[in-house]
Amino acid sequence: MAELVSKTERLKAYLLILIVALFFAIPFILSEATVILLCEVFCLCLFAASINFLLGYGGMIPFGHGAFYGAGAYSCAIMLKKAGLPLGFAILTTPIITAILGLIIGFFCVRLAGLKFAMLSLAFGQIVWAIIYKWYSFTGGDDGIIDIPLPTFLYDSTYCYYSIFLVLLVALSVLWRITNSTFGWTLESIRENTERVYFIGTNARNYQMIAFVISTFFAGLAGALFVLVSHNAFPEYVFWAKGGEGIIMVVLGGMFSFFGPIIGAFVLLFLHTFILSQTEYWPFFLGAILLVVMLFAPEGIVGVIGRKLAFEKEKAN
Amino acid sequence: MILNTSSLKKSFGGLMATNMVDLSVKTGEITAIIGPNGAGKTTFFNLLTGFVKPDSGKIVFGGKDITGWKTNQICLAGIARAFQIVNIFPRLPILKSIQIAIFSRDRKGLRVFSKASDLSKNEAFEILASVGLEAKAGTLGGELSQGDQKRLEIGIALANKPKLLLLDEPTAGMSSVEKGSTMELIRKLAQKQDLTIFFTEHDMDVVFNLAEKIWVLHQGKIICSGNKEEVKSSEIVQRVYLGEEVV
Amino acid sequence: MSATILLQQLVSGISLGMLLFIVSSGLTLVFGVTRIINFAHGSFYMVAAFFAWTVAGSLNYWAALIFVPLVVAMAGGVIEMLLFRRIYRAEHLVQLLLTYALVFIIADITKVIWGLQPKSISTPEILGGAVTVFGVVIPKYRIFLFGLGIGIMIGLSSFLRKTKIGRYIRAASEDAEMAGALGIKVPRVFTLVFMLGVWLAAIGGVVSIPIITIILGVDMDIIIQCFIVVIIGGMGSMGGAFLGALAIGILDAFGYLVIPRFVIVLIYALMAVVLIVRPRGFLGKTAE
Repeated sequence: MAELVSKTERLKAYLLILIVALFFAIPFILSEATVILLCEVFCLCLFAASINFLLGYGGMIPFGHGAFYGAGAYSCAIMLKKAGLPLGFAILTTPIITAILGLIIGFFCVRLAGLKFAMLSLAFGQIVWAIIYKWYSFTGGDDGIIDIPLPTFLYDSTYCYYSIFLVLLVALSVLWRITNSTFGWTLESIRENTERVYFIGTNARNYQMIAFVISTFFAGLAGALFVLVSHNAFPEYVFWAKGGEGIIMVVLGGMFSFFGPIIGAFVLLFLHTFILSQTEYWPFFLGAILLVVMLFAPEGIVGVIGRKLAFEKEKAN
Repeated sequence: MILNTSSLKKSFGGLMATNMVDLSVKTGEITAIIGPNGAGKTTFFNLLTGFVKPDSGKIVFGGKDITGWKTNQICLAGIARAFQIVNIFPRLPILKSIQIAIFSRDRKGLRVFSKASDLSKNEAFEILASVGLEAKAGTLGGELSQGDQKRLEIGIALANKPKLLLLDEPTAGMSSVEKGSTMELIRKLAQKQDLTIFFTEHDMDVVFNLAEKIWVLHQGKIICSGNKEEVKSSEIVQRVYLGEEVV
Repeated sequence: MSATILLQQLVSGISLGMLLFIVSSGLTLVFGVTRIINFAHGSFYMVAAFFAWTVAGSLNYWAALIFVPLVVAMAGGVIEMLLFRRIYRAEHLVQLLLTYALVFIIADITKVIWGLQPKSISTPEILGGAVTVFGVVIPKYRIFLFGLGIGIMIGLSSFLRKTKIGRYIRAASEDAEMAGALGIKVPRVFTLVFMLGVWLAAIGGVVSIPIITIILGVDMDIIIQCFIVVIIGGMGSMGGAFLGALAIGILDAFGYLVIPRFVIVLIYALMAVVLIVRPRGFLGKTAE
């Protein structure tokens, strides 16, 4: 039994290394347009992963997480353009800023459960959006922030790609470590049975708050990275629909797995790009796909694959 | 005495669920609290575990006044509870569930960079073994049979290394065979050093078989306490239980 | 700031509140009985508005007011039977995302049929013009809205309290399983309630067209406002929706006088405050 386990573990590790290597090779294989698209996907992967930390692992529905992504983008953009700060500084401090924002918002949100949590996080998210949208003098309001100065090497799509990919790998590794730590496991138990957790000696609410802060840290980082790709920041990045998009990615890919949201981000963005090239009615197709998934496969892509594999294993035995 | 309550009172709306309860549990003595439906047993356990705050009165555990303490604090102080309606972690493998309970006890839950799967694994296995579930370590909680889930309940409570174990109707819904093995389990656990068992039950056979001291609760008040002969022969108890389980 | 201006704003706020109540009452009714928060509620509102624009254009406003809500409600019934019936026992997240998916689908269908151009019509003749009361100019249409809102409030409560079906609905919302055990055909009740909810959204949509520009995107606007009303008033409470809608309407109107740019922040802040201080809302019940 023990041997089999390490064999599948090793296979998974090899597969992962292969995939990462493939991604390193992509700028030499695919077109520049695809490379730029992938940069955007990487940011959304991190965003989706940050949402899943709360949703799949913590059992909370953060409907207003777009605010942290957008606040991250704006924070980075303002630091670069208005304060002329160096890129490294902006990238490092932005997540801390969004984490502090997450601390304040999370403090209130974790007092509620389920739908109320979702609605309160939505309310706060919209407050953040409204402030950013209306504070013309600081954020440029509807006009957004454009022409953000970046170090010259980042204007080359290949270097931009590798930079974002590396940050993504590091961030995901940290997140992976956290989900497999005692903290991550405790978070899962909170998802499974919040009440019971108090009876084993843990103050679930405190853990939910910490999880919220961790999640908003990475959401803000994702937003900051996006500035490197888009060279701008617009209110849409903060709007609640962004958070909705993130949740869709998580659920599409599979919320009870670490890689589900990442796969979901890829699938969603590529579907988006492909369908938009054929027709203007992307929302219709998004809705239709989401509808079908929710009705027939709410466990997402990874869930469906998992079911198929378990089925095959049963058949073999 | 490992546990002492004095003049414990709790009412909900107009209903007096706990009415001036003075109760004590002797260290190492298997104690039971019984009473007809609605007598207030669950509320009492909720009070002991801090899930509900008493209106007045005191709870002293191991010499410490724990009145008003929060549930998780009381748990860390050494009181663990196994629930009547199974209250486990359905999608987690049971070994993982036990490990998580151990992390909580050891206050290791905040180690964000630890590798959880290796930690406290052996101890978790031992606990599973003590409730007879070691063969199913990888099974998800929700996939266990009802009877096994009850064992898991007890296992999770044991992971806390409690000094006082509260069992809420441990044999509810079980066949007589399962009841037998559960009673065996409880007897085995009671023999552990440093563990006092305090349970509530509806099945009088189980109560009289296991309990060394019995407290009888009726409409929130203690109407009688003693060993099984004393309780069986008590007139008040017979009156209250007329029509209920055979005394 | 003169009393007249304040009164003017009050009137404006109340009529906006009434409109909001008419639409949100549908949302809260559906939630109260089926426990589902229908994101697509605003979409039915929008479709009804566009549809009414077409009907009012070719026939007249009153034909629209009578027929459009009925047709849209029937479409709602079909959707309930095909989709919602499957998810009543699903997890909250699944339900939320399913209704969210509907929003996208309905929005694009609307775009196909009616395009991107904003639509509006002028107030119907009988309701045009204004009356002046104590120096305050009140457009007749707003009085109509006020009357309609009150009428619906009274009509709905009487329906729920005094008719047999109303009692079945209340029974099903208290405890659907028990109601089923007592012989009430719960699926049919759910369909009826859903259709009623959609009907209310549609009425709201139709009466909106003379005063709001109908354009793609009003579905999102109205649903967010409805969420806020329902949360503030208490999920499932009709009276709560009434109070909540009035509160939002008046807050909106007065907020405009004081801090026009940040009114929207104020409204979201109110929702946040209610959720923090009194999560069940003005008149909601505690258990959920």
